[in-house]
Amino acid sequence: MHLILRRVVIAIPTLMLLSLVVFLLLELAPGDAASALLDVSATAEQEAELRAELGLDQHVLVRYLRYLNGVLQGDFGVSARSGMSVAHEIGVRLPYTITLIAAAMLIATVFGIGLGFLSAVKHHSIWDTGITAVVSLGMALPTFWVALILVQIFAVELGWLPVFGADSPQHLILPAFCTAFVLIPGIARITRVSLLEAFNADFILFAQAKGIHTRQIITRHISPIAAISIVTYIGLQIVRLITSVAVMEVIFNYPGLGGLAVSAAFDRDFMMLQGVTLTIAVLTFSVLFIVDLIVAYLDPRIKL
Amino acid sequence: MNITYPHVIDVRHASPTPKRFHLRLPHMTTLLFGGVLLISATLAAIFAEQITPYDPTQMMPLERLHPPSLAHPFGTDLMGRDLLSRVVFGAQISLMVAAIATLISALPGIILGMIGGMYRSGFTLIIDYLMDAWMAIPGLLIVIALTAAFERNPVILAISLGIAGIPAVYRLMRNETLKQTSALYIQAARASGAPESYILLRHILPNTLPIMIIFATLRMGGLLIAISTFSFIGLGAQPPTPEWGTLLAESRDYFHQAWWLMVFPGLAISLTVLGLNLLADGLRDWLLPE
Repeated sequence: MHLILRRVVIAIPTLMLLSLVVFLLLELAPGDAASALLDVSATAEQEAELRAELGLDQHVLVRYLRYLNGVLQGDFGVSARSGMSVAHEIGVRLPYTITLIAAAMLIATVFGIGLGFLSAVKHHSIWDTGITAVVSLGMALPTFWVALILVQIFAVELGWLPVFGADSPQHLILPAFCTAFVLIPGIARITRVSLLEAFNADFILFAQAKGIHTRQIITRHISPIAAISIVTYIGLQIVRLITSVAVMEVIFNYPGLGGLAVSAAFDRDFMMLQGVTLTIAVLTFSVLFIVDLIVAYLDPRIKL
Repeated sequence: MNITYPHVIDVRHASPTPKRFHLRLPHMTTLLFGGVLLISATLAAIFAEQITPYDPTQMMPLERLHPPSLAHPFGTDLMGRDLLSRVVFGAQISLMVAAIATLISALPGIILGMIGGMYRSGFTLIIDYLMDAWMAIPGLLIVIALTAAFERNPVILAISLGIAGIPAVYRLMRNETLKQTSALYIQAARASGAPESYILLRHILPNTLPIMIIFATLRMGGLLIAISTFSFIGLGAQPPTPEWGTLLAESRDYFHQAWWLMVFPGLAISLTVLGLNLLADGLRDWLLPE
């Protein structure tokens, strides 16, 4: 209970603070929603009228509180670009981003743990050396470059996978794999290290001395310990993963929140920008929260 | 009569026994390999004007999309610009932005981290909370908010990435300071009346230096990737500026006709980052053997 409370106690003021900082930051920027909505030919009176209508003539803090009040009621304002409700557009795109994050985390865990496990079990063999080298190399490669090359190979040259959009499950494969690529080397490394550490622990020696089968030692004694450090590591990397998800969404033209956020930055669509940043932050906190729950479940020393 | 106490040492100056940094062969190879990669990238960036055969923005319409040759070792791009020159000038922007971002994260991170590790007070609790909160905000949001509010250029990108990196430096510095303050020699220094500022600057700072250098080296690698990534999606350097990310963005639609446009800038990023990572690994094994 304590852990859950702590997370919520940190999350709520943080989100408020973030929305305030973004609000004030965009306040500093030249131009506002009124000038973004009107075209060049609009007269000064028209602009002033629109400003009064949108409530832009009021004090910043008043406007912030009104915005916050709206957000709490699910009203994120209107996009200056499309004229549509920000909440609606976010609602349409959110499931896509959640799917992409889930798929990427699944792929990253499977590949990362697989590689780490292999190199730990075959410690000091050609497998171990090979995987360690590949992992070091993988850490140095920019993910978007890998994505560009994979698109060229699997989508353009071989034609096995679709390139852009999200119309079918196949559309998910390339973006999810490329997003996962950020995490795979790190997970592999942490798996290898924590497994090797566990292999050398006293209680494992004891279990061996008792004559317990190796397979059982790995599944019953070592895996739970390794799982804790792996999940903790994934938790620490969530923030990086979210950034990477957004970049992949842009590269693959995937209809998620990251792409929306980047295009809102390009268009200086401030209402949209505020809504999307807030949503992405909430999403990040939610994933962190789930990771916390999993760690608490795996680690009997942590009580919820 | 003047009595001396040979067994009493002045604890004010008693640091832990200085470590002997032994270099062993495996460390040497990683250090050397990483160092060579990084130094060549840095030298290329510094002497870009002297070593490049062409002006990176000079267009040669008759030499569009030429494959790698002796005249153009990396080939030419769509406008007939020499790719080698553009990649070398790209190193300049990438390394400069990474260095600025590192400085922006390091200064507040180190100072606040030391204070946070030394003292417990309302102020440090608030800082602690803010850093925790800041850490949970994806760097993307900071870059997006700042580029939308100001301008899409490398300077804003450097500032955003620097700001996004402060909490990580703070955490590390705070934990290291906490570790140091509980050490016996710090207690001895305190007991003998050394002022806090002296302890901070002469004992704690030098002792956290190795780990901070290793951290900064690793961080630079991550920053180089982030810089090219954000430039690639258009939130950093803008074309026609030769930057590794923008070069790759320009290469996107021409892979079929001109593979070199996608291969060489990507290799430049990867090799520089690999150099930094190897250097960090080598430094860690060398400076922090435990």
